[in-house]
Amino acid sequence: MSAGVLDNVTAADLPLPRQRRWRSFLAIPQGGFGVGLLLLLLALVVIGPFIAPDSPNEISDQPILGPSAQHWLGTDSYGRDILSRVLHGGASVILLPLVAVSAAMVVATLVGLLAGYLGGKVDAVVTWIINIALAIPSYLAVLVVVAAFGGGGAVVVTAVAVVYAPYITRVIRSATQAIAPREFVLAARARGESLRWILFREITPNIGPTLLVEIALRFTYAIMFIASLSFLGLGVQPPSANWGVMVAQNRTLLLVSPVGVLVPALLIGVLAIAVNLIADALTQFFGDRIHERLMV
Amino acid sequence: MTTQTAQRDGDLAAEGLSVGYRSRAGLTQVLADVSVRLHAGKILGLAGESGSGKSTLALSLLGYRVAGQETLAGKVAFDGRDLDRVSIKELRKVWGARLAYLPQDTATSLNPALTIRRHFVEGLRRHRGLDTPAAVRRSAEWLARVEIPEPESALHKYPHQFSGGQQQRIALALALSVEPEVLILDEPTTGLDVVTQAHVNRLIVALARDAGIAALYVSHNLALLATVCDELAIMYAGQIVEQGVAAQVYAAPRHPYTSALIGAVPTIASDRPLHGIPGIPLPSVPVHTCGFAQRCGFRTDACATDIPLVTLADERSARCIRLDDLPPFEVAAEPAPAVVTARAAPAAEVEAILTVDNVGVVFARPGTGEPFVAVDDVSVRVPAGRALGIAGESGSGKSTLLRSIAGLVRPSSGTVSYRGAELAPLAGERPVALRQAIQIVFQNPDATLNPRHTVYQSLERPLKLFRSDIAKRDRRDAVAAMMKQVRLSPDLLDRFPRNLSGGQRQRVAIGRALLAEPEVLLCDEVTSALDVSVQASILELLVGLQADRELTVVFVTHDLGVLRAVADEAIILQNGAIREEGPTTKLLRAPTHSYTKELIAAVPNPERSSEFLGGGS
Repeated sequence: MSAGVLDNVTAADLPLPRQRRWRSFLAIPQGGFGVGLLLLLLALVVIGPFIAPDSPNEISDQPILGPSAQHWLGTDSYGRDILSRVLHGGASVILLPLVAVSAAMVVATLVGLLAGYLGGKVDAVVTWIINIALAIPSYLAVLVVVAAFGGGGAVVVTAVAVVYAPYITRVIRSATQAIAPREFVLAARARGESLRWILFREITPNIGPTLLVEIALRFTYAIMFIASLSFLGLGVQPPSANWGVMVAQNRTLLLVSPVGVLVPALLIGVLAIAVNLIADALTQFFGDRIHERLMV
Repeated sequence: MTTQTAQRDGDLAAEGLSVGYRSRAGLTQVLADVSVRLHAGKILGLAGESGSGKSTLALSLLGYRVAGQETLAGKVAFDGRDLDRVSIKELRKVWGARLAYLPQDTATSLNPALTIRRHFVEGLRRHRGLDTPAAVRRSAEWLARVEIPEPESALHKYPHQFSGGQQQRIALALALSVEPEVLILDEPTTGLDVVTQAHVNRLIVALARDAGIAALYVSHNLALLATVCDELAIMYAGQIVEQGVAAQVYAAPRHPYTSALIGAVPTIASDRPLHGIPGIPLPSVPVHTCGFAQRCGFRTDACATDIPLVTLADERSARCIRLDDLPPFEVAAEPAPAVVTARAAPAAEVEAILTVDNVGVVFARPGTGEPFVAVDDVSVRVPAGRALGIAGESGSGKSTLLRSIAGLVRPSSGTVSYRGAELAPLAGERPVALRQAIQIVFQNPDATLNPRHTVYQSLERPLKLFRSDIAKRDRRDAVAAMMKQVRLSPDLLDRFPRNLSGGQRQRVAIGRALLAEPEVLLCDEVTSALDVSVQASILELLVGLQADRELTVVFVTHDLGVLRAVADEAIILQNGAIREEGPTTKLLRAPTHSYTKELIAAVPNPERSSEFLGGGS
């Protein structure tokens, strides 16, 4: 056989090394900005408790003081240092949604893959459950659960996970349906591969982009959702320092001392925006590549 | 007209046209020094493989520019103007009215939300100034001319209510109804079945000639172009490498690329063995060298220079420096290949390795749930060590039949047996040894490999499942050896499918099937998505492997030429049922069933062009 048959592939055809792909993600304006914001917030949340001047629940001064050199953001109605509460109050704002979304993701991926790949009766039952779940307004559902079991982190996380799982399942299911009839999956079936192999080795890597975008998007929603619940007094309970709780507690002082509401509210907003920007950039990033990746 | 040239109205010409695309990576030149002229009442065929620049030329001739496109030299002359310098506002007056375009996919030419009537009336009112009743009358006339049944009521239907062939005929009528001077056809029949293809092509030629239209017919199908066109231009790497009278170019090509291309097209008429063209085409225009030199068997050192288009006798021109000392092209002069003669024993005397007994497959139609018979009581005997071809149009059930053999579709009735023992209906229920014995290769090179697995990962899998005789540490060697067998460089093992060409991916897929050491290889249209030169080399590979390994091959195809090239025995399927079966050569030479005859008549044959074009439908 001639040398020409052993076709040459040029350097431009080689897959991008990981580092360069990461960099090209950051080059998308939303990506760079979102990651930057998120890193800043994470730094604040991680380092915050160590640099906070006071402990979050310590009554350190007169109540309702405006910003001063001693209390940069003033004090709340109990005389607690607002800055210290802000620096301590981020962890639960990020962590609870993260746990909720991860839990929903694991369940939804499993169910979505099975329903999408197996089709038939399994799919009919899953679709039926999803449709019923989607018909129930999420706030209402969570409110009922919280009312029944009482507030608190664990209950809220479970409730949010249960409420979000059907949405994610639906996305995973349809992504799976798009991949399942492809010939490489048929080839695997013809080889007699196990269900596990087909779901996790053949299909899952190909719905990775969809999965990632969905995680980021759901994470944004969950941040807002849980912060809102905390604001309503159903999530994280006072006296815990939590940005949502702080907005709720300090809102009576809005006219007297607005920073107590504005700063935590702003931080929640910025966090949601950062994650949303990343989700947006991910969509673009994979959108550009999804064509060659799936070669559709 | 105030033109200084002798050009008459309606003549459209590219004159020394060079076009490039500018992107972040820089400028890529895709057309170099292209000169073509379309003449009223004549059809110019433009042939080339994917990436040769033929579609770019077609669109450039319309004055159509995509983002980043730049004209580097030359011009597109129409009506004394350079279309490249005409404003978009002016172009809109010309497009549709004087320059018409018929794309491959009617999804881009017909709007699914509009009735056929709206499509026609819009163009006729705008470009011909007709009032609605007159436009409607004209539309019905044109629908009748493209043989749409009940044209009056057809006007009130939507595009999806017509079949693919009818849609393309409607699109043709739509383009011609405004009486343009020029018609650009870009692969207008590629997505259609052979019989439909022949029908649409007959109409295109008849109507275009009748209306005195200057047409450009772009296609990768050289035999088709040689059959329907007056003139033929062959493109390669953005250059015209040969041009001349269609029949002459096809019968006696002068440029080595044209010869190679003709040698790669399987025909139903001859036993001429297929030869692929090694290597892959250049992605852009060659610089100071012949674009084809890398893949050319007649290459010399002198080819590394800019090659001019040489004008020869009989309106022929070719871009090669060795035109005078190349051997003349020979068609069908070679004897039948040895592999065919070696299998002289009649198929009936050979032991059957696979038998399909009264298999039927019934699907529920999506939406309505009505039953749809895909395969209708089919019985087939596959002789061991032979190649059986299954041919038919889309919807004939040929792929479904193959998939039921592979255990991917559960037959509604009947059984499939392997060496006399009945097989479980689904692959997952079959014992390992039987899954190993029957391997399948699919049609779509874009989907046959998992995009997230490297070539090595894909190839290693059958070894893990079926080849306990190969130790783990020897797997890489076995895989590398297979890569060489399917003529791929082992350097590609750690690449992902997206870094491979379609032909390379298909070779990997064949390698994956062969690594299982199967007895039977099922091939589902494995070359239909590939360029002819690549198709020929894949078929060459398959025929060679089949002979070397004494493999049994079941090959599904819609292309009778491919059937002829691969299969000893053939089956013709229509609507899920067998219409005719027998030795391939006999079946193609002396068909007995009317459907087989119809299929054969629909195959473009440059030597019987008038028969093809005049034949009834």
